[in-house]
Amino acid sequence: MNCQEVQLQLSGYLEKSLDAVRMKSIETHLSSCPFCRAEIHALSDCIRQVAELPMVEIPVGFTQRVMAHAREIEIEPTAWQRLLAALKVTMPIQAAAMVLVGVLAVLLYQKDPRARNVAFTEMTSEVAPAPTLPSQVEETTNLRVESNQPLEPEQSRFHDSKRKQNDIPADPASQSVVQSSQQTAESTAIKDAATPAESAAVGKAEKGLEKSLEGRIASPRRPTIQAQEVSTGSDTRRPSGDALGIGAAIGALSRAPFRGAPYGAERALSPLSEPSPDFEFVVRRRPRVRLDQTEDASGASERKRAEADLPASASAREPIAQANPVVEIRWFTVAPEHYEYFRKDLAAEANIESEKSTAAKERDAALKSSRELLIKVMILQP
Amino acid sequence: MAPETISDAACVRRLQRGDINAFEILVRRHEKAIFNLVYRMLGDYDDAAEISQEVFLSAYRAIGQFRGEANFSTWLYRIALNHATTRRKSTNSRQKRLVPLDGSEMIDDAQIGPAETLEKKELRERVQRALNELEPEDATVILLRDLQDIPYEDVARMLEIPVGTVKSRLHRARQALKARLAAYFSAGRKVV
Repeated sequence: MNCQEVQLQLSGYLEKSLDAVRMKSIETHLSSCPFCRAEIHALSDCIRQVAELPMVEIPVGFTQRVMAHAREIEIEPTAWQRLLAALKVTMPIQAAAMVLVGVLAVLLYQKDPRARNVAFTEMTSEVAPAPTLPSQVEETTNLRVESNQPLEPEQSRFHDSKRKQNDIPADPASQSVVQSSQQTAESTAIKDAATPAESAAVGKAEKGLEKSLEGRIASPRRPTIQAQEVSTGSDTRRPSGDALGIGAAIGALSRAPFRGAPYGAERALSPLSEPSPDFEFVVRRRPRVRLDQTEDASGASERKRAEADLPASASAREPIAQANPVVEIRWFTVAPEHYEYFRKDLAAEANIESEKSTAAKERDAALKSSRELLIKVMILQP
Repeated sequence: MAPETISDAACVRRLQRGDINAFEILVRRHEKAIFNLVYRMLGDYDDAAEISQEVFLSAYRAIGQFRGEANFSTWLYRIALNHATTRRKSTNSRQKRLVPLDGSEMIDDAQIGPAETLEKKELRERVQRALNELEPEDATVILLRDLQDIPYEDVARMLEIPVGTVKSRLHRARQALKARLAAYFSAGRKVV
């Protein structure tokens, strides 16, 4: 090892950071080279002089001055703090919470197919005017029956199965809550407005309103079609004053022994066909002036309220009424022995334009049989 | 918890959450080392006080950007070296600074006589002057390694250069310092 190589490694030699072989080689060289020995002494002195430089004391009050200035400085926020600060500025905490809830709702909606089905069902029943099949007509009719009458076991099972198909929980309590919340405001307004003399009529109007509300809640909102206008058991409980305008006295038809036709099991309809009535009447509604005279106050108020409540459905009916003179078709089941009473009452309320019956043989058989007669009443415009 | 027992990292976390008292702990813990490094880099006590204060305030402003990837002391030293180097370069461009004889260096050995005290003081002023004449990078590596006795690895992190580069740069800096002190030694003045 020559002098140049040794001098390049003198710092390492002084710090003893070289390997043993090199340390030994340098030691050997230094023992025989006075020049390199002088160099290493000079370097060692230099390092020692630097190392022995004394530590100076900091100025008096240095810490206090630094802290005083620091308190006047606003710390630059971290990236996370900047993000949070930006959110605070642009979005209050309530809005942030709403956004969070919304995001969670979307996530849950996407993950839960059951919730998606329910939402889809609600959406289609409220918005989409899907073509109505006869089976849907039957379902609608049954729903309306359910809202007013105790269900037959078979009907109840039918309803349960329908609910299961739609994945809608059968929760009557929730329905009643919805109904009662909708009815409360109406009932309160009616009670506030009614005088004692009108209380009975108002009570009837309330009941009628309840029925109409129940019907609206129970049945999906679909475009009004004639098949859905079929009178059912729910209509038999209507108070006097038919909202559809046959006449106030038509309510008499709902008195025993006449009642709207629930489709009993023995007369179950084909889902693709209309029932075959034993008798078919075409009646014309009497002019409204006369009807108004016969209608009681509750009927009028109910109709007004119904018109106010259902502008969409009312307007939906207008084109149908203009295009087709038949504004309503109602069905009744009448015991054979009460058929003549039914006919007289009907004639008292509306002008009977025509009366058809099935073949004479079948009609006679029906009149003689013990089963109830199925009567179809087609109501024309006045 | 006593301030002495709180780690730098814990203080930094508290400071990042807005606890300015944690910053005071950090200042008191590192102020002497930082001030002496800056003082030896600049050779001027007042400048050292000004720059050291700016070092701590810069660290305080930027504490939010400190992600803890290095030790706080390493990060603080880096800030100090940057400030000191910048000041040193600007000062050297105006004038060649001489080591001030401001009496700030305290001679601890009370047993030595006035002549020896003067000789020691003269020697230290000479060493400081030689340091000031070095390139800033050379002075930096000498001060970090020989004055502050910081391990090579930490010096490498502070200067953001490899350890091997630190060693070679240190050897070059020592040779340069030795050469500047050679005249003093060759004049027959002995190191005390």
